[in-house]
Amino acid sequence: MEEDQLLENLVLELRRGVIVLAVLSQLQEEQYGYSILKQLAEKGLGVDQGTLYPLLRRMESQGLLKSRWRVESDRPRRYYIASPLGRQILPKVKSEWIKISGTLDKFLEE
Amino acid sequence: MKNKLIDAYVACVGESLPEKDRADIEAEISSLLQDMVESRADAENREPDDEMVCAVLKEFGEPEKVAASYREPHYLIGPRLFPPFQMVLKIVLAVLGAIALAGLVYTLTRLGSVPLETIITQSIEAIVQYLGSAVTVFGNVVLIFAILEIALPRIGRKKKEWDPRSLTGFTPVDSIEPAGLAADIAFNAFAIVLFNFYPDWVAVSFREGVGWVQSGTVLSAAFFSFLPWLTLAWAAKIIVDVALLAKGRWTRALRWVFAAAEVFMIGVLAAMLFGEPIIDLAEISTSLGLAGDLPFDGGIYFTVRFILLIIIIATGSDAVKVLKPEFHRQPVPSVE
Repeated sequence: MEEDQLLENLVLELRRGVIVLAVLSQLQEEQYGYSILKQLAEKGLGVDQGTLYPLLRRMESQGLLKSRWRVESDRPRRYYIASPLGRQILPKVKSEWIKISGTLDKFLEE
Repeated sequence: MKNKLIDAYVACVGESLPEKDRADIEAEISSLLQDMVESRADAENREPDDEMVCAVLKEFGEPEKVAASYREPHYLIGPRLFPPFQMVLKIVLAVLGAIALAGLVYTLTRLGSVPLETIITQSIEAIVQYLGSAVTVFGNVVLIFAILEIALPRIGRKKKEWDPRSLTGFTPVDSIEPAGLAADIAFNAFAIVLFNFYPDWVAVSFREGVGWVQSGTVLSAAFFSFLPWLTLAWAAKIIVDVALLAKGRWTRALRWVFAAAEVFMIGVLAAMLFGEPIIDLAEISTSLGLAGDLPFDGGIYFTVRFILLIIIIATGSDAVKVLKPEFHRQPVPSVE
């Protein structure tokens, strides 16, 4: 049981590190919160909503995202999109990720 | 789609959110929940009902947990100050325990031959009083460190752009411990305030009949004659500590100034050690309406002098530790 909990925490920590990159990559076009969650899940990165929604706000306060409220079907939705800074930073973070991922692949093959 | 359960849930989350962002986060959560319910209704090909809303809310999580995920972590006492906080608390509580124990022993001695029941009752009352005092002390120490937690980042903030050339001549022995210095500042300031403005608090209280009796201050006239010098020594330590925090590292000048402040403190303490007693036991007897000397007064005077001696040795050891690198410094190539 303790081992399961430990594994769950380790996986959670791993995911936390890559969610920012995943979200930034998916927000080249405007999307609302729930659609981002669904899109990430459909592509294989299930993210806890308690992690994703506060993260979107933090990324916005860091200047990586922009958001605006839009009224659709008589109710408001908050849409997020990568800011110019977010777009500028994305390729750099992506290249870092590729390097890290490649290095780790080598470690894990050993 | 409006739903009373969703509204109640959102209001419940909002209660634990900071007021500044509350309305915005509430609107966002409400919108997200409605999206989730709609999506589920589409997937199940039926109209949303309370059962479905309940399932979605359960999946979204407990309101307090959701609100917590939107709040930035705040520390009353953060990881940086926690080790000195623990250390100070242990020392203060141990000293308080020693005083309480001494008070209990003294009370029992005064009562003479008493039944076991009285001893147990007195002991329980002493423990209760100790716990009460411990809670007060704990609160005060927490308050001091909480203020430091807020103030420290401002003190340590660098205004100028950092220049690697400032490392010229720097070695690891020059690094400082900001948390330790902050604690030192707080407790020197506390000593100045306590002994100058509230000397009556330095008193002895013990059980007398049905109630507690508190003496007047135990500090003697001799102590008060040293107080201006002690205050000067504490103030000097505060100034040096603040200068160290501002500089961010030890420099040759600061080492010598620190050592000078410590030597000054040793001088004052030595004068106290070899001079008239700094506590007045006769004053305690008078305050408590007792005739004659207190029991073990010779032992108490000896203990106070012994404590002074220990403080002198510790202060001297600090001064030597700080000055040592000046005499054993390895030459460091300068940065051109």
